[in-house]
Amino acid sequence: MVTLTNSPAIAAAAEIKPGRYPDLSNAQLYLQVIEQLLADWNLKLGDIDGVLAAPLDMATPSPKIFTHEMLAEELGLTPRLGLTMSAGGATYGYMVQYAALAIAAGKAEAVLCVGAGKFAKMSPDVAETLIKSVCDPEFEFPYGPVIAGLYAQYAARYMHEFGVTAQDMAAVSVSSRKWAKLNPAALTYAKPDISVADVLASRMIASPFHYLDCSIPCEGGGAVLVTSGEVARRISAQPAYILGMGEFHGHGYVSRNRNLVDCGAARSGADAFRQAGLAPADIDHVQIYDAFSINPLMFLEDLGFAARGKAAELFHSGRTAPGGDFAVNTYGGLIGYGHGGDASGMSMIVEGALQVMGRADGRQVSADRALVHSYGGMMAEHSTLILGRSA
Amino acid sequence: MPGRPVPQVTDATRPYWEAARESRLSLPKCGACGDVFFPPRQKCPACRSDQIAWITASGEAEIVSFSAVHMQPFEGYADHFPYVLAIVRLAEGPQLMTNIVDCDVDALRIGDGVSVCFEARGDGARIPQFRPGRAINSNQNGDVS
Repeated sequence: MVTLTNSPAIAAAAEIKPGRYPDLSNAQLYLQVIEQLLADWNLKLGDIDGVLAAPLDMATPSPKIFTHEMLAEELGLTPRLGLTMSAGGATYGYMVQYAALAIAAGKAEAVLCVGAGKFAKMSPDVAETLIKSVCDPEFEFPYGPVIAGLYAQYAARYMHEFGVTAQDMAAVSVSSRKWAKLNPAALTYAKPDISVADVLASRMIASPFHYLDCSIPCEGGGAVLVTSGEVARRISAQPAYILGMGEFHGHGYVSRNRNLVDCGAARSGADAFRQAGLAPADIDHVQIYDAFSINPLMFLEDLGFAARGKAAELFHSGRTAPGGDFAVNTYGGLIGYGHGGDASGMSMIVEGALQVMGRADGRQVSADRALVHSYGGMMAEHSTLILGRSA
Repeated sequence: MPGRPVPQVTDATRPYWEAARESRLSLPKCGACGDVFFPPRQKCPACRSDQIAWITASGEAEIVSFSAVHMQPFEGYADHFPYVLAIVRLAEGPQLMTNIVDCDVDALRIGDGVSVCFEARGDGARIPQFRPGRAINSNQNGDVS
């Protein structure tokens, strides 16, 4: 166990509702997210002495590499610490990690971590830009990859080696959609329940993924304030203390990975567990990046919650769903809640924090300890955070 | 298919694409340690030597994973659906992304043997593609229409 000095914690967390914001520019979306955080937690801008931001327009040909400066300027802040950070979906896990390290080293007291983004409708030029950001432009792009087809390389191999089935993946979507029914912010909140048969009957996007195996592209954004434990206790009756953090960078492009059933999540997970001095059995609930329904199956196994090929049983048995004893993606996941463009990697962090803080309303679970796993690129770089109610 | 992307060539990868223009699958091989690697680099990824030679590959490969894709990746790529996006491992060791062409999608399995063929792109460029079965002879015959 490696204890962090100053007991860094997530003191405040907020997201804007996923959806479409045609009247707001991307920059305005960032500011709206920050307003929401300030309002939800009664924060003052003067409390903030650090700003970590994801690049505005991250997944476009011209990401803004000085977004932290733009935000600080806009908010009238002159922070001690500031960076624009970019690691795709893992950006936000790394923000929390680097904020915690800075706080542990006495270099900041209250670090705003923020991102927002649009997931534009898939016009041909947008699709080409997006796909080029996650594939090898010289040796993969000429073969017409789509994002679902790239993830499918992992999924098909995983099914082949471990006997995982389309029904198993469908059970992940079914569980997520049940949680989404308890979250009024989720895009599928008002939609009917789905069954495994519904997922299998939905149209094929890129085998083995049916339409209902895929997350829902939308716009969104989220922010957390990472502070010392002392500051956190002034802001929140129950902060989400950061107990463990893990980071690992594997292969950037899927075709470079010589072992498609190992994308590296196990390494960041083991690192986080080691730091926290905890084991999978100590974790109450898990928030896990789910661009596609295969991800939770692969990652729960990588992270030690199930043997190879066995994570599906957690979903089929109902243990991951509302009322179960091992809740997964309690906000509905990106599959049920919505995949808020560049900021999707924040959704599972905000939810993990809210659960640990006891602020998850009608979907609150027993939440002494949460594990939050996110990744960037084509499942290339991983972030694991372990959050708890006591430092 | 002239509407499809043309590879963007760099100094390190030029021999690969030049060979492809002649319907040959060529791979970089380290002159110092013998490693056959992909993608092409200025230096051997195993030992950092810059003595890179080029060999003509057998053209034989095995499907590591694949997906039958039912959507257009970008305007004009696919003229029928599904098309197959795959990763194959070459007999020489390296693996690469490809389409599986001239195939019965429903009959395709991971582990199937495939062999290289070449697809014309714009400007006289050709790119390696793979199709089921062994090469008819060893000189990597065969272009796709």
